[in-house]
Amino acid sequence: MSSRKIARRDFVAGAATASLALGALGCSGGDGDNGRDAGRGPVAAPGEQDRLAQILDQAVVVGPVPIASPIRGLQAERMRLAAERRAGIPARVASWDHELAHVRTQVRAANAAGVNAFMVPVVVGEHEPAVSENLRRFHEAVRALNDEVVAVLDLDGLAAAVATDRVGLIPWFQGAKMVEADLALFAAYRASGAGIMAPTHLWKMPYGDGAFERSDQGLTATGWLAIRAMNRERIVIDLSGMGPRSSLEAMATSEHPVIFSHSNARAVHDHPMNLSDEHLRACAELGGVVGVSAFPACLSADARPTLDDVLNHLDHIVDTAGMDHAALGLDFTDLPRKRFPSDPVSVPPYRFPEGFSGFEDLSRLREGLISRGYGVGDRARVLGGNMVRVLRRVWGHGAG
Amino acid sequence: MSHPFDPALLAEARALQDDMIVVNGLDASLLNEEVVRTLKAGGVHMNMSTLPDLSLSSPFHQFMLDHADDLTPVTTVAGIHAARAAGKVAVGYCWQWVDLDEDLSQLAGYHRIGLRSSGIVYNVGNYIGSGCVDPNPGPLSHYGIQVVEALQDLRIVVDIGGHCSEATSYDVLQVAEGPVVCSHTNPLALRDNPRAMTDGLMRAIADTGGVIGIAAFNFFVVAEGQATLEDFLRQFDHMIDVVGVEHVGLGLDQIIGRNDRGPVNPVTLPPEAYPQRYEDWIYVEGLDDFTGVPLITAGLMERGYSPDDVEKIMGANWLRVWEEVWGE
Repeated sequence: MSSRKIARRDFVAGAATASLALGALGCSGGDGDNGRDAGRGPVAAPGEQDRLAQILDQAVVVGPVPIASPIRGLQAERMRLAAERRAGIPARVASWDHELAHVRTQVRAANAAGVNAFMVPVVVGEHEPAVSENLRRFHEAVRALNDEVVAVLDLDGLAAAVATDRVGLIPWFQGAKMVEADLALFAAYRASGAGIMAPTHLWKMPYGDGAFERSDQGLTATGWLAIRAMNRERIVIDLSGMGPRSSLEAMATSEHPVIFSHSNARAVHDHPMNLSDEHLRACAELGGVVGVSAFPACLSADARPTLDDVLNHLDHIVDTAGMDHAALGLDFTDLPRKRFPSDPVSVPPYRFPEGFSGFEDLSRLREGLISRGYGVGDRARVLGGNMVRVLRRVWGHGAG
Repeated sequence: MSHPFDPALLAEARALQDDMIVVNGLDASLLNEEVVRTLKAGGVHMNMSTLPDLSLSSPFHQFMLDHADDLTPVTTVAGIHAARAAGKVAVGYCWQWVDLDEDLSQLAGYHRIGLRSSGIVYNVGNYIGSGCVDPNPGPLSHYGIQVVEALQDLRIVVDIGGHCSEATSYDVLQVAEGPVVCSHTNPLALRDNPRAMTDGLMRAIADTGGVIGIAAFNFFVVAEGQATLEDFLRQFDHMIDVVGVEHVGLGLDQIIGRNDRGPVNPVTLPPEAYPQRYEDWIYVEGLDDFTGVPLITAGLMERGYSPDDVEKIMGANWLRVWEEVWGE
């Protein structure tokens, strides 16, 4: 692993500051394994909180990167098996070693690109017992790659990732099939790591309609209550993939900022996964963020979108929602997303923008930001500061 | 329990039941000893039991074996006739909602185990469609269309209305072929409750050739106090006025022998539709269990329905629809 990250030089003051923040969080020491395990420590005192805020505000924290998830292979396997079960082909077992090696490769690329933390899918619409298996894999991967990754279940984890030069993996839950109407379960899943949850995926779910549905209904009876329950449990609500009316209603009822972890602007490219200006403004009003996505179908009508398209969406989000409300969603994925014939997405392999298809290409995005006039402070906000502000506000450790 | 019928009328009603096939189109009890005892005592020949867990590890399979002298699982109308001839109560298996993964091939397994009727949405929206208490009811989802098609491909009865929203129910009617049913509801015209059904949807279901079962859940019949048998029978009168005698049946929806206590989950069972404590889940006077079924038969007779009509309402309508959908 590179010890010096050029890309991060702009943002992180230095190791000394990082150690201070870690100390303030009670994160130094650890279990003796290598002296840098993050334990949940006492809440930082006010002065120390300021330093912590400074560290975290410079962190590079980005949206979902499914290609780096410890359940990516499992997910692919489940999809393949579901298809093959229909075709009568017997099951094979996914290799855990292969999965781990894949995560390690991605994590190293993230680290080399100066990424402090990113979201990884841990639940993609499964219910128990699949969710338990997914959580087991997430936590096993974190343990196995302990020298290089940190589980980011709260701000302490994020601070530990920054301070110890490891990559934070933020478990990302897409859909809450394992909760449904048993809303008390949100507390249990929050404790298991569900810091960011999407109430729905792209299709109809018990809390509301997805963006690819036949209908654009609002929240269900359960959905209204679920948004409040997620607020209570301090789970960051991710409305990417939700249908227009449901997501507007979710923003109307949420007491906390929400995120659209990977959504672009409809004004730039009219696609169901993208957001109207009304949505962008509503998100900004709540203090939330919109993470710009590189997923080709969301960028443009062209078969092969470009990095310029990504920047066009970002510019529009900034122009409409404001500089404090733009983030990186990325959404680098290689998993099938098309479920029904009418779903407006293609099948893998996806044609991500030339030169922008993985962590290793983040430097190009940074150059693009510079060329479009984003100053150092603005770049820091887009690359993570804004996302961290939402995490701090919702997860705790000081008002955002 | 008090009722206005003289013993002679009740005896006549009970005897009449022995000459027909009495069917309860939906029971919510889960199987237990009290269900078995009162099915026999009340002269019910066929009970469609809600069994949310129909997996191989479900305890109900053993229960059915243990009660093989009294109960027979059935998947055909011929089986119902055979059970009655053998002096046993026929038991069908149904769901009130579908809770499956994306891969609907599992449905074939549940059909094999005996699933023959299924609702799709229970009160609140799910992956399939919207529920009766949802603030923004809408149509079926893409997946919901697949679910309805999969049920029909397997000739499992599609059960709409009641727990599922009107919007979703009407959408099902666009997708489904042949008879669909509403296993248990009550007319909105007589008691406004989110669970109740409009006359329009009742007519639409009847137009498919289907049947609508009437529930004896007290709160769906009266807003306050104890519903009388007269209140209940008035529901039959209204529904028969609206859809005709061919399309009305029993869907009593009792919870018998479980002694549930304490608060309900207000998310799925909200106060506008349900009493908030199980202690207050009571039934129409005399219909706490199946021993009161002859009261319905007697009540219909007293109201002047012909023996043929009573036979249809008490069971023959269900048999007609099931035979058409199940194909045997």
